Amino acid sequence: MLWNSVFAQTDTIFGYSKQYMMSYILGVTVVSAITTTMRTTDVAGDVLKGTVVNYLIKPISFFKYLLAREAADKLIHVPLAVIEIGFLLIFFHPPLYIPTSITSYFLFFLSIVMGWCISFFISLALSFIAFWTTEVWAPRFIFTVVVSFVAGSLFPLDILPKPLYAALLITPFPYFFYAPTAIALGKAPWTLLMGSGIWLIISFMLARFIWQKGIKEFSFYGI
Amino acid sequence: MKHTLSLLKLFSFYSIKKTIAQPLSVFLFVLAKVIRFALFFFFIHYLLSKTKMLVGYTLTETLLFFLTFSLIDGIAQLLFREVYRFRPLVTEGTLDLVLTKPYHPFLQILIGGIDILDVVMVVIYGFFAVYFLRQIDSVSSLSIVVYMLFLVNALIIAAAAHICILALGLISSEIDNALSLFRDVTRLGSLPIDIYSEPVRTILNTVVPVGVMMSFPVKGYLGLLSIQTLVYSFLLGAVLLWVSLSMWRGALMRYQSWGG
Repeated sequence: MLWNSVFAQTDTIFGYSKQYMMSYILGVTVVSAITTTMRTTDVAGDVLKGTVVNYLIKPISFFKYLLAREAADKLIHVPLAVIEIGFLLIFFHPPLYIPTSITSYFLFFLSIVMGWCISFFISLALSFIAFWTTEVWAPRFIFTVVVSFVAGSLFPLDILPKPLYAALLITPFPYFFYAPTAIALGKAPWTLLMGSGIWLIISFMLARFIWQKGIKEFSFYGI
Repeated sequence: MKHTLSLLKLFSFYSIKKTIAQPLSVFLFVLAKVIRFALFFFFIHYLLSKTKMLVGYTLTETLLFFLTFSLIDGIAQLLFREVYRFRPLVTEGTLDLVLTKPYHPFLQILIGGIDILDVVMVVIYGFFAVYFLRQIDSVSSLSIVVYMLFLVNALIIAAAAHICILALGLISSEIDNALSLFRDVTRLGSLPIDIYSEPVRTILNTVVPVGVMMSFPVKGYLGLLSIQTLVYSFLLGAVLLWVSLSMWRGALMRYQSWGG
Protein backbone atom coordinates (compact mmCIF):
# COMPACT_ATOMS: atom_id res chain seq x y z
CA MET A 1 0.00 0.00 0.00
CA LEU A 2 2.89 2.31 0.81
CA TRP A 3 4.44 1.70 -2.60
CA ASN A 4 1.04 2.05 -4.27
CA SER A 5 0.76 5.52 -2.76
CA VAL A 6 4.30 6.38 -3.83
CA PHE A 7 3.62 5.33 -7.42
CA ALA A 8 0.44 7.42 -7.49
CA GLN A 9 2.82 10.42 -7.56
CA THR A 10 5.55 9.15 -9.87
CA ASP A 11 6.15 6.51 -12.55
CA THR A 12 9.55 5.38 -11.32
CA ILE A 13 11.40 5.68 -8.06
CA PHE A 14 14.98 4.62 -7.29
CA GLY A 15 15.01 3.06 -10.79
CA TYR A 16 12.01 0.84 -10.10
CA SER A 17 8.74 0.97 -12.03
CA LYS A 18 5.48 0.13 -10.26
CA GLN A 19 5.43 -3.26 -12.00
CA TYR A 20 8.88 -4.23 -10.74
CA MET A 21 8.35 -2.85 -7.24
CA MET A 22 5.02 -4.68 -6.78
CA SER A 23 6.59 -7.88 -8.14
CA TYR A 24 9.48 -7.47 -5.71
CA ILE A 25 7.25 -6.84 -2.67
CA LEU A 26 4.95 -9.78 -3.42
CA GLY A 27 7.87 -12.02 -4.39
CA VAL A 28 9.83 -11.23 -1.26
CA THR A 29 6.82 -12.17 0.87
CA VAL A 30 6.91 -15.70 -0.54
CA VAL A 31 10.71 -15.84 -0.35
CA SER A 32 10.73 -14.75 3.30
CA ALA A 33 8.17 -17.46 4.14
CA ILE A 34 10.58 -20.00 2.66
CA THR A 35 13.91 -18.78 3.96
CA THR A 36 12.91 -17.64 7.46
CA THR A 37 13.65 -20.44 9.87
CA MET A 38 11.07 -20.97 12.57
CA ARG A 39 11.97 -24.09 14.52
CA THR A 40 15.63 -23.41 15.25
CA THR A 41 14.54 -20.98 17.99
CA ASP A 42 13.26 -24.01 19.95
CA VAL A 43 16.82 -25.33 20.21
CA ALA A 44 17.77 -22.63 22.73
CA GLY A 45 14.89 -23.72 24.94
CA ASP A 46 15.94 -27.38 24.54
CA VAL A 47 19.48 -26.54 25.67
CA LEU A 48 18.31 -24.48 28.64
CA LYS A 49 15.81 -27.14 29.77
CA GLY A 50 18.28 -29.92 29.11
CA THR A 51 15.89 -31.74 26.76
CA VAL A 52 18.53 -31.48 24.03
CA VAL A 53 19.98 -34.70 25.50
CA ASN A 54 16.97 -36.55 24.06
CA TYR A 55 18.35 -35.82 20.59
CA LEU A 56 21.97 -36.50 21.46
CA ILE A 57 21.35 -40.10 22.51
CA LYS A 58 19.56 -40.94 19.27
CA PRO A 59 21.50 -42.48 16.38
CA ILE A 60 20.75 -39.55 14.05
CA SER A 61 22.59 -36.39 13.11
CA PHE A 62 21.24 -33.47 15.15
CA PHE A 63 21.77 -31.03 12.27
CA LYS A 64 20.04 -33.29 9.74
CA TYR A 65 17.16 -33.86 12.13
CA LEU A 66 16.70 -30.10 12.57
CA LEU A 67 16.91 -29.50 8.83
CA ALA A 68 14.23 -32.14 8.21
CA ARG A 69 12.01 -30.60 10.90
CA GLU A 70 12.48 -27.16 9.36
CA ALA A 71 11.61 -28.49 5.90
CA ALA A 72 8.44 -30.08 7.26
CA ASP A 73 7.51 -26.76 8.85
CA LYS A 74 7.85 -25.12 5.45
CA LEU A 75 5.20 -27.45 4.04
CA ILE A 76 2.73 -25.64 6.29
CA HIS A 77 3.95 -22.06 6.05
CA VAL A 78 4.78 -21.74 2.35
CA PRO A 79 1.29 -22.71 1.08
CA LEU A 80 -0.20 -20.21 3.56
CA ALA A 81 2.03 -17.45 2.18
CA VAL A 82 1.05 -18.41 -1.39
CA ILE A 83 -2.65 -18.27 -0.45
CA GLU A 84 -2.09 -14.86 1.17
CA ILE A 85 -0.43 -13.57 -2.02
CA GLY A 86 -3.24 -15.11 -4.08
CA PHE A 87 -5.82 -13.07 -2.16
CA LEU A 88 -3.79 -9.90 -2.67
CA LEU A 89 -3.58 -10.60 -6.41
CA ILE A 90 -7.32 -11.21 -6.65
CA PHE A 91 -8.32 -8.10 -4.70
CA PHE A 92 -5.75 -5.56 -5.87
CA HIS A 93 -4.70 -6.74 -9.37
CA PRO A 94 -1.18 -5.31 -9.07
CA PRO A 95 0.85 -5.09 -12.30
CA LEU A 96 3.42 -7.87 -12.13
CA TYR A 97 6.61 -8.83 -13.93
CA ILE A 98 6.78 -12.56 -14.53
CA PRO A 99 10.26 -13.87 -15.51
CA THR A 100 10.19 -15.88 -18.72
CA SER A 101 13.70 -17.28 -18.81
CA ILE A 102 14.30 -20.77 -17.43
CA THR A 103 17.73 -19.59 -16.23
CA SER A 104 16.07 -17.01 -13.92
CA TYR A 105 14.00 -19.75 -12.31
CA PHE A 106 17.04 -21.98 -11.91
CA LEU A 107 19.13 -19.20 -10.32
CA PHE A 108 16.17 -18.26 -8.13
CA PHE A 109 15.86 -21.86 -6.93
CA LEU A 110 19.58 -22.06 -6.18
CA SER A 111 19.59 -18.73 -4.40
CA ILE A 112 16.53 -19.52 -2.29
CA VAL A 113 17.95 -22.88 -1.14
CA MET A 114 21.21 -21.20 -0.14
CA GLY A 115 19.31 -18.33 1.54
CA TRP A 116 17.31 -20.83 3.57
CA CYS A 117 20.46 -22.71 4.62
CA ILE A 118 22.31 -19.51 5.63
CA SER A 119 19.32 -18.36 7.67
CA PHE A 120 19.07 -21.84 9.23
CA PHE A 121 22.73 -22.06 10.28
CA ILE A 122 22.91 -18.49 11.63
CA SER A 123 19.69 -18.94 13.57
CA LEU A 124 21.03 -22.23 14.92
CA ALA A 125 24.30 -20.59 15.97
CA LEU A 126 22.28 -17.97 17.86
CA SER A 127 20.35 -20.70 19.67
CA PHE A 128 23.61 -22.38 20.69
CA ILE A 129 24.41 -19.29 22.81
CA ALA A 130 22.22 -21.09 25.36
CA PHE A 131 25.19 -23.39 26.10
CA TRP A 132 26.86 -20.48 27.91
CA THR A 133 24.07 -18.11 29.03
CA THR A 134 20.37 -18.04 29.77
CA GLU A 135 20.04 -14.63 28.12
CA VAL A 136 19.31 -15.97 24.65
CA TRP A 137 16.19 -14.06 23.65
CA ALA A 138 17.66 -10.56 23.55
CA PRO A 139 20.36 -11.40 20.93
CA ARG A 140 17.69 -13.15 18.86
CA PHE A 141 15.45 -10.10 19.11
CA ILE A 142 18.27 -7.91 17.79
CA PHE A 143 18.86 -10.43 14.99
CA THR A 144 15.15 -10.39 14.05
CA VAL A 145 15.04 -6.59 14.06
CA VAL A 146 18.12 -6.31 11.86
CA VAL A 147 16.91 -9.01 9.47
CA SER A 148 13.48 -7.40 9.14
CA PHE A 149 15.14 -4.28 7.77
CA VAL A 150 18.40 -5.12 6.05
CA ALA A 151 17.41 -8.44 4.48
CA GLY A 152 15.16 -6.68 2.00
CA SER A 153 11.67 -7.58 3.18
CA LEU A 154 10.45 -3.95 3.18
CA PHE A 155 12.13 -2.71 0.02
CA PRO A 156 14.76 -3.78 -2.53
CA LEU A 157 18.16 -3.07 -1.01
CA ASP A 158 19.59 -1.59 -4.21
CA ILE A 159 17.47 1.54 -3.66
CA LEU A 160 19.80 2.45 -0.79
CA PRO A 161 22.82 4.72 -1.36
CA LYS A 162 25.51 2.74 -3.21
CA PRO A 163 28.11 2.62 -0.38
CA LEU A 164 25.46 1.38 2.05
CA TYR A 165 24.24 -1.23 -0.44
CA ALA A 166 27.81 -2.40 -1.06
CA ALA A 167 28.43 -2.62 2.69
CA LEU A 168 25.26 -4.67 3.19
CA LEU A 169 26.36 -7.18 0.56
CA ILE A 170 29.33 -8.05 2.77
CA THR A 171 26.91 -9.17 5.50
CA PRO A 172 24.82 -12.37 5.26
CA PHE A 173 21.45 -10.60 5.51
CA PRO A 174 20.78 -9.66 1.84
CA TYR A 175 21.11 -13.33 0.89
CA PHE A 176 18.04 -14.27 2.97
CA PHE A 177 15.34 -12.41 1.02
CA TYR A 178 16.78 -9.80 -1.31
CA ALA A 179 19.14 -11.90 -3.42
CA PRO A 180 16.63 -14.63 -4.46
CA THR A 181 13.90 -12.11 -5.29
CA ALA A 182 16.15 -9.65 -7.13
CA ILE A 183 17.82 -12.45 -9.12
CA ALA A 184 14.42 -13.82 -10.17
CA LEU A 185 13.34 -10.37 -11.35
CA GLY A 186 16.60 -9.83 -13.18
CA LYS A 187 17.36 -6.81 -10.95
CA ALA A 188 20.56 -8.26 -9.51
CA PRO A 189 23.42 -10.07 -11.23
CA TRP A 190 23.85 -13.81 -10.81
CA THR A 191 27.19 -13.05 -9.15
CA LEU A 192 25.22 -12.48 -5.93
CA LEU A 193 25.12 -16.27 -5.80
CA MET A 194 28.82 -16.19 -5.01
CA GLY A 195 28.05 -14.16 -1.90
CA SER A 196 25.36 -16.70 -0.99
CA GLY A 197 27.85 -19.53 -1.47
CA ILE A 198 30.52 -17.88 0.69
CA TRP A 199 28.05 -17.13 3.48
CA LEU A 200 26.64 -20.64 3.28
CA ILE A 201 30.09 -22.07 4.01
CA ILE A 202 30.85 -19.49 6.74
CA SER A 203 27.47 -19.92 8.48
CA PHE A 204 27.71 -23.72 8.38
CA MET A 205 31.23 -23.72 9.81
CA LEU A 206 30.24 -21.17 12.44
CA ALA A 207 27.20 -23.20 13.57
CA ARG A 208 29.23 -26.41 13.64
CA PHE A 209 32.10 -24.78 15.53
CA ILE A 210 29.79 -23.30 18.20
CA TRP A 211 27.92 -26.61 18.45
CA GLN A 212 31.13 -28.61 18.98
CA LYS A 213 32.40 -26.11 21.56
CA GLY A 214 29.06 -25.94 23.33
CA ILE A 215 28.42 -29.65 23.48
CA LYS A 216 31.79 -30.18 25.16
CA GLU A 217 30.84 -27.76 27.93
CA PHE A 218 27.26 -28.95 28.23
CA SER A 219 26.29 -30.93 31.29
CA PHE A 220 22.90 -31.76 32.66
CA TYR A 221 21.30 -34.01 35.24
CA GLY A 222 17.76 -34.78 36.21
CA ILE A 223 14.58 -35.32 34.13
CA MET B 1 -8.47 4.48 45.38
CA LYS B 2 -5.41 5.00 47.59
CA HIS B 3 -5.32 1.25 48.25
CA THR B 4 -5.56 0.53 44.50
CA LEU B 5 -2.72 2.93 43.71
CA SER B 6 -0.47 1.45 46.38
CA LEU B 7 -1.14 -2.03 44.98
CA LEU B 8 -0.38 -0.83 41.47
CA LYS B 9 2.83 0.73 42.74
CA LEU B 10 3.78 -2.55 44.40
CA PHE B 11 3.06 -4.64 41.26
CA SER B 12 5.02 -2.17 39.13
CA PHE B 13 7.93 -2.24 41.57
CA TYR B 14 8.11 -6.06 41.44
CA SER B 15 7.79 -6.05 37.66
CA ILE B 16 10.63 -3.55 37.24
CA LYS B 17 12.78 -5.40 39.76
CA LYS B 18 12.25 -8.67 37.86
CA THR B 19 13.23 -7.05 34.56
CA ILE B 20 16.40 -5.35 35.78
CA ALA B 21 17.59 -8.59 37.35
CA GLN B 22 18.98 -9.32 33.86
CA PRO B 23 20.84 -6.09 33.00
CA LEU B 24 22.44 -7.45 29.83
CA SER B 25 19.06 -8.45 28.44
CA VAL B 26 17.64 -5.04 29.34
CA PHE B 27 20.45 -3.35 27.44
CA LEU B 28 20.14 -5.61 24.39
CA PHE B 29 16.35 -5.36 24.21
CA VAL B 30 16.45 -1.55 24.44
CA LEU B 31 19.24 -1.51 21.87
CA ALA B 32 17.13 -3.65 19.49
CA LYS B 33 14.14 -1.36 19.91
CA VAL B 34 16.29 1.71 19.28
CA ILE B 35 17.76 0.08 16.15
CA ARG B 36 14.27 -0.80 14.85
CA PHE B 37 13.04 2.75 15.47
CA ALA B 38 16.13 4.33 13.90
CA LEU B 39 16.03 2.11 10.81
CA PHE B 40 12.36 2.77 10.12
CA PHE B 41 12.85 6.48 10.77
CA PHE B 42 15.73 6.46 8.30
CA PHE B 43 13.65 4.59 5.71
CA ILE B 44 10.76 7.10 5.84
CA HIS B 45 13.21 9.98 5.71
CA TYR B 46 15.08 8.45 2.76
CA LEU B 47 11.90 7.63 0.83
CA LEU B 48 10.35 11.04 1.29
CA SER B 49 13.57 12.81 0.47
CA LYS B 50 12.87 11.50 -3.07
CA THR B 51 9.08 11.76 -3.26
CA LYS B 52 8.75 14.95 -1.11
CA MET B 53 5.13 14.05 -0.25
CA LEU B 54 3.21 10.92 0.75
CA VAL B 55 -0.53 11.01 -0.01
CA GLY B 56 -0.44 14.77 0.47
CA TYR B 57 1.62 14.78 3.68
CA THR B 58 5.05 16.37 3.96
CA LEU B 59 8.09 14.61 5.40
CA THR B 60 7.57 16.22 8.83
CA GLU B 61 3.89 15.24 8.90
CA THR B 62 4.61 11.67 7.77
CA LEU B 63 7.28 11.32 10.46
CA LEU B 64 4.78 12.66 12.98
CA PHE B 65 2.32 9.90 11.98
CA PHE B 66 5.05 7.32 12.54
CA LEU B 67 6.12 8.85 15.86
CA THR B 68 2.53 9.05 17.11
CA PHE B 69 2.02 5.40 16.18
CA SER B 70 5.25 4.48 18.01
CA LEU B 71 4.21 6.51 21.05
CA ILE B 72 0.74 4.93 21.32
CA ASP B 73 2.09 1.44 20.62
CA GLY B 74 4.88 1.97 23.17
CA ILE B 75 2.55 3.24 25.92
CA ALA B 76 0.10 0.39 25.25
CA GLN B 77 2.91 -2.16 25.59
CA LEU B 78 4.25 -0.44 28.67
CA LEU B 79 0.85 -0.50 30.39
CA PHE B 80 -0.59 -3.80 29.18
CA ARG B 81 2.52 -6.02 29.13
CA GLU B 82 1.02 -8.38 31.71
CA VAL B 83 -1.57 -9.53 29.14
CA TYR B 84 1.34 -11.26 27.35
CA ARG B 85 1.81 -13.40 30.47
CA PHE B 86 -1.86 -14.25 30.96
CA ARG B 87 -1.97 -17.66 29.27
CA PRO B 88 -0.01 -19.63 31.90
CA LEU B 89 -2.28 -18.18 34.61
CA VAL B 90 -5.27 -19.73 32.85
CA THR B 91 -3.72 -23.04 31.83
CA GLU B 92 -2.05 -23.67 35.20
CA GLY B 93 -5.11 -22.61 37.18
CA THR B 94 -3.30 -19.88 39.12
CA LEU B 95 -5.77 -17.31 37.81
CA ASP B 96 -8.12 -18.49 40.56
CA LEU B 97 -5.70 -17.04 43.09
CA VAL B 98 -5.99 -13.66 41.35
CA LEU B 99 -9.78 -13.75 41.04
CA THR B 100 -10.26 -14.47 44.73
CA LYS B 101 -8.14 -11.48 45.82
CA PRO B 102 -10.01 -8.43 47.21
CA TYR B 103 -9.11 -6.14 44.34
CA HIS B 104 -10.09 -5.89 40.68
CA PRO B 105 -8.26 -8.58 38.66
CA PHE B 106 -7.34 -6.03 35.96
CA LEU B 107 -5.03 -4.44 38.48
CA GLN B 108 -2.85 -7.51 38.18
CA ILE B 109 -3.60 -9.15 34.82
CA LEU B 110 -4.03 -6.01 32.71
CA ILE B 111 -1.83 -3.25 34.14
CA GLY B 112 0.12 -5.11 36.81
CA GLY B 113 3.31 -5.66 34.83
CA ILE B 114 4.70 -2.34 33.69
CA ASP B 115 7.55 -2.88 31.24
CA ILE B 116 10.54 -0.72 32.11
CA LEU B 117 12.08 -1.33 28.65
CA ASP B 118 9.16 0.47 27.05
CA VAL B 119 9.52 3.40 29.46
CA VAL B 120 12.87 4.17 27.83
CA MET B 121 11.40 3.91 24.36
CA VAL B 122 8.30 5.97 25.19
CA VAL B 123 10.56 8.77 26.43
CA ILE B 124 12.49 8.65 23.13
CA TYR B 125 9.30 8.58 21.03
CA GLY B 126 7.80 11.38 23.14
CA PHE B 127 10.88 13.55 22.74
CA PHE B 128 10.87 13.19 18.94
CA ALA B 129 7.08 13.61 18.74
CA VAL B 130 7.24 16.90 20.65
CA TYR B 131 10.11 18.05 18.41
CA PHE B 132 8.16 17.35 15.20
CA LEU B 133 4.88 18.71 16.62
CA ARG B 134 6.70 22.00 17.14
CA GLN B 135 7.99 21.91 13.56
CA ILE B 136 4.47 22.28 12.17
CA ASP B 137 3.38 25.87 11.88
CA SER B 138 -0.17 27.24 11.87
CA VAL B 139 -1.46 25.14 14.73
CA SER B 140 -3.18 26.53 17.81
CA SER B 141 -3.13 25.46 21.45
CA LEU B 142 -6.50 23.83 20.72
CA SER B 143 -4.67 21.51 18.29
CA ILE B 144 -2.49 20.28 21.14
CA VAL B 145 -5.57 19.61 23.28
CA VAL B 146 -7.18 17.70 20.39
CA TYR B 147 -3.96 15.70 19.87
CA MET B 148 -3.80 14.79 23.57
CA LEU B 149 -7.49 13.80 23.64
CA PHE B 150 -6.97 11.54 20.64
CA LEU B 151 -3.95 9.96 22.33
CA VAL B 152 -6.10 9.17 25.38
CA ASN B 153 -8.84 7.83 23.10
CA ALA B 154 -6.28 5.61 21.34
CA LEU B 155 -5.18 4.20 24.70
CA ILE B 156 -8.82 3.54 25.64
CA ILE B 157 -9.25 1.58 22.39
CA ALA B 158 -5.98 -0.28 23.08
CA ALA B 159 -7.22 -1.09 26.61
CA ALA B 160 -10.52 -2.35 25.15
CA ALA B 161 -8.63 -4.58 22.70
CA HIS B 162 -6.47 -6.03 25.48
CA ILE B 163 -9.53 -6.68 27.67
CA CYS B 164 -11.17 -8.50 24.73
CA ILE B 165 -8.00 -10.61 24.38
CA LEU B 166 -8.10 -11.40 28.11
CA ALA B 167 -11.76 -12.44 27.77
CA LEU B 168 -10.87 -14.65 24.81
CA GLY B 169 -8.00 -16.13 26.80
CA LEU B 170 -10.30 -16.86 29.69
CA ILE B 171 -12.63 -19.08 27.67
CA SER B 172 -10.21 -20.53 25.14
CA SER B 173 -6.68 -19.99 26.56
CA GLU B 174 -5.93 -18.44 23.17
CA ILE B 175 -3.77 -15.39 23.83
CA ASP B 176 -0.55 -15.42 21.83
CA ASN B 177 -2.08 -15.51 18.36
CA ALA B 178 -4.70 -12.92 19.31
CA LEU B 179 -1.95 -10.60 20.54
CA SER B 180 0.08 -11.16 17.36
CA LEU B 181 -3.00 -10.34 15.31
CA PHE B 182 -3.58 -7.16 17.34
CA ARG B 183 0.08 -6.10 16.87
CA ASP B 184 -0.03 -6.83 13.14
CA VAL B 185 -3.28 -4.94 12.64
CA THR B 186 -2.19 -1.89 14.65
CA ARG B 187 1.07 -1.82 12.67
CA LEU B 188 -1.07 -0.88 9.65
CA GLY B 189 -1.34 2.51 11.34
CA SER B 190 2.38 3.23 11.38
CA LEU B 191 1.88 5.48 8.35
CA PRO B 192 -1.09 7.72 7.46
CA ILE B 193 -4.20 5.61 6.99
CA ASP B 194 -4.79 7.51 3.72
CA ILE B 195 -2.25 5.25 1.97
CA TYR B 196 -4.90 2.53 1.93
CA SER B 197 -7.48 2.56 -0.83
CA GLU B 198 -11.20 2.03 -0.29
CA PRO B 199 -12.81 -0.07 1.15
CA VAL B 200 -9.76 -0.93 3.31
CA ARG B 201 -9.54 2.66 4.59
CA THR B 202 -13.18 2.70 5.74
CA ILE B 203 -12.71 -0.67 7.44
CA LEU B 204 -9.65 0.69 9.26
CA ASN B 205 -11.66 3.69 10.46
CA THR B 206 -14.72 1.75 11.61
CA VAL B 207 -14.66 -2.05 12.01
CA VAL B 208 -10.99 -2.28 12.98
CA PRO B 209 -10.39 1.28 14.22
CA VAL B 210 -6.64 1.45 13.59
CA GLY B 211 -7.13 4.75 11.79
CA VAL B 212 -8.96 6.25 14.77
CA MET B 213 -6.22 5.03 17.08
CA MET B 214 -3.10 5.89 15.13
CA SER B 215 -3.88 8.45 12.42
CA PHE B 216 -6.59 10.62 13.99
CA PRO B 217 -4.33 12.26 16.61
CA VAL B 218 -2.12 13.78 13.89
CA LYS B 219 -5.04 14.51 11.60
CA GLY B 220 -6.78 16.25 14.50
CA TYR B 221 -3.60 18.19 15.23
CA LEU B 222 -3.37 19.29 11.61
CA GLY B 223 -7.03 20.41 11.71
CA LEU B 224 -8.13 17.86 9.11
CA LEU B 225 -11.02 16.39 11.10
CA SER B 226 -14.55 17.72 11.50
CA ILE B 227 -16.28 18.08 14.86
CA GLN B 228 -18.55 15.15 13.88
CA THR B 229 -15.49 12.94 13.36
CA LEU B 230 -14.19 13.98 16.77
CA VAL B 231 -17.48 13.03 18.44
CA TYR B 232 -17.61 9.75 16.48
CA SER B 233 -14.07 8.84 17.57
CA PHE B 234 -14.69 9.38 21.27
CA LEU B 235 -18.04 7.60 21.11
CA LEU B 236 -16.34 4.69 19.38
CA GLY B 237 -13.72 4.54 22.13
CA ALA B 238 -16.42 4.51 24.82
CA VAL B 239 -18.50 1.87 23.02
CA LEU B 240 -15.49 -0.40 22.47
CA LEU B 241 -14.54 -0.15 26.14
CA TRP B 242 -18.11 -0.99 27.17
CA VAL B 243 -18.21 -3.95 24.75
CA SER B 244 -14.87 -5.26 26.03
CA LEU B 245 -15.99 -5.05 29.66
CA SER B 246 -19.21 -6.87 28.76
CA MET B 247 -17.13 -9.55 27.03
CA TRP B 248 -14.94 -9.90 30.12
CA ARG B 249 -17.99 -10.28 32.40
CA GLY B 250 -19.49 -12.83 29.96
CA ALA B 251 -16.22 -14.77 29.83
CA LEU B 252 -15.99 -14.79 33.63
CA MET B 253 -19.47 -16.36 33.80
CA ARG B 254 -18.30 -19.17 31.49
CA TYR B 255 -14.87 -19.61 33.08
CA GLN B 256 -14.10 -22.91 34.73
CA SER B 257 -10.79 -23.32 36.46
CA TRP B 258 -8.23 -25.29 34.45
CA GLY B 259 -5.98 -26.09 37.33
CA GLY B 260 -6.03 -28.83 39.83
